[in-house]
Amino acid sequence: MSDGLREDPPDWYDPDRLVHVCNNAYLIVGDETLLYDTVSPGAREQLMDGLDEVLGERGLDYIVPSHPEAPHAGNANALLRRYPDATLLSSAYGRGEELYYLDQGRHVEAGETLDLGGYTVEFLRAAFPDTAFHIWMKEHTSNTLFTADWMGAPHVDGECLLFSDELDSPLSPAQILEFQARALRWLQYCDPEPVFETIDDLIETHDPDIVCPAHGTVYREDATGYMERMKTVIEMITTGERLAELK
Amino acid sequence: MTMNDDTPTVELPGDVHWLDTCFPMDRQHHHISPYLLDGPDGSVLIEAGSMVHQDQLIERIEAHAGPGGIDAAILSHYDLPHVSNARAFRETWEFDLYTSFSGTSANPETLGMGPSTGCMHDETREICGRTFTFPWPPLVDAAHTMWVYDHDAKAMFTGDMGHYHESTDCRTVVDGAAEPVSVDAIRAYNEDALPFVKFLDPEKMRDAFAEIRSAYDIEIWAPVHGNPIVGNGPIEAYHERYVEAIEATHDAAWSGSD
Repeated sequence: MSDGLREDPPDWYDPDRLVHVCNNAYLIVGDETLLYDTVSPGAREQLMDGLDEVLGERGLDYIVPSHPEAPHAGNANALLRRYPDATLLSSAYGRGEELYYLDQGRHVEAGETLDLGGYTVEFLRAAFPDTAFHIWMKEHTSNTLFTADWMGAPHVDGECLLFSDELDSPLSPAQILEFQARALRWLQYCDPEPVFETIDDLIETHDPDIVCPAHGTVYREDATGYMERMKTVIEMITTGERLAELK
Repeated sequence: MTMNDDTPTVELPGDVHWLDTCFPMDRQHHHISPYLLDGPDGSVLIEAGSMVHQDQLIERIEAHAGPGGIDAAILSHYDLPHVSNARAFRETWEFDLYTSFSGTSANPETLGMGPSTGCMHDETREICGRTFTFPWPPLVDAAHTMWVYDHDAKAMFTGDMGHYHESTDCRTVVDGAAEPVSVDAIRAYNEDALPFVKFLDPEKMRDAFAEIRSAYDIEIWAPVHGNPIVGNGPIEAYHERYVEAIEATHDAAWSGSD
């Protein structure tokens, strides 16, 4: 963690417990199967073991990297080798897909839906992207929003694989800020009003029951309340100091 | 200054050599161009370029630095157009690798680039006899990105902040004599490559660019994704155009004007 946190620890920080940041992929299993995000190559074995356990002899039908950074797309090729019948679906929003190996898949645009049999996913233009070729997703049956880098937050040792409502202390804007300000560095220079408008629009349009970020615990209770609280996070980022690197 | 010859690099002041390599698109071109710096103790490569230019880059680097290639490489971040040749280069030459301190779930060794030295923001290091500092960048996509400032040439290497160029300007260095980079070329690049730009506050960005010019004496503005800009005046003018481009994107997104 940064020295500032150690010197002036917030409520959620326990110096005796390591701070973790998730790197999540999400598997949807209907009649067909879809993996959203592929996590880092450093977690390849863990990912493959997890897929083996859930899928067994079933194949993986779709692989969807949320964007082409290594922690999100870094196992796409390994997955395509392991599941050669799988289709790579990548965002249509960018130029020069050859530079990212994204020309070997099919591009999906906002509004396109995919019936997995029991679950239906809709691809969304990422509201808060960092890189090009970013894609968000909504699953309609469970009313779940998949938001990649948006709404991530750190947790502490012993809280891995818990839901946000199961953490030892409720996720506060200050805790979310510790990840969000570092993950989307542009927020420091943003005009807050359009960000707030976009949050309002997301809530009004999707009103999700569950929000699944790639770098944080899953929000399954009061998901839209947490989306509202992101406005406080943005206010804190735009009026605060730049955060140092995590170390 | 426009160079149309077939020299392996375009020469910039201070022993900085531009390995201009670009990617043609419909109308404009997109630079993914590393830089090679001659130091008293060897050659330093800034960025590794795109895999579509891998063979060409190896050939051009060896034409400049000799068959032993480079002695060090500095990578601003782990996005593919910046690092995808790192492993191939390491299989070709022996050199030291310097990368941004990540703090993310990716690091160069995990990504197959082999061991590297992590650099912290604002840290200063001697590499091959040249002095480098790694400033906090005000405009990045990947969170762990660092910019690279070379004190000897007063050159700022800027990762993802860039612009497109016309097909006639692939080797153009933007100095006082050349046409300045247009607002449209910056805006088109931003809207393709940096999709968050519509949220940026133009005034905050103007202040951020002024702050970096104030903190560093900059004679060369060296984007990976664009033509280099040489001279204080052209650099300041470029920053002003960059702010105009951000403002145009912001206004088009939120006030319905274009």
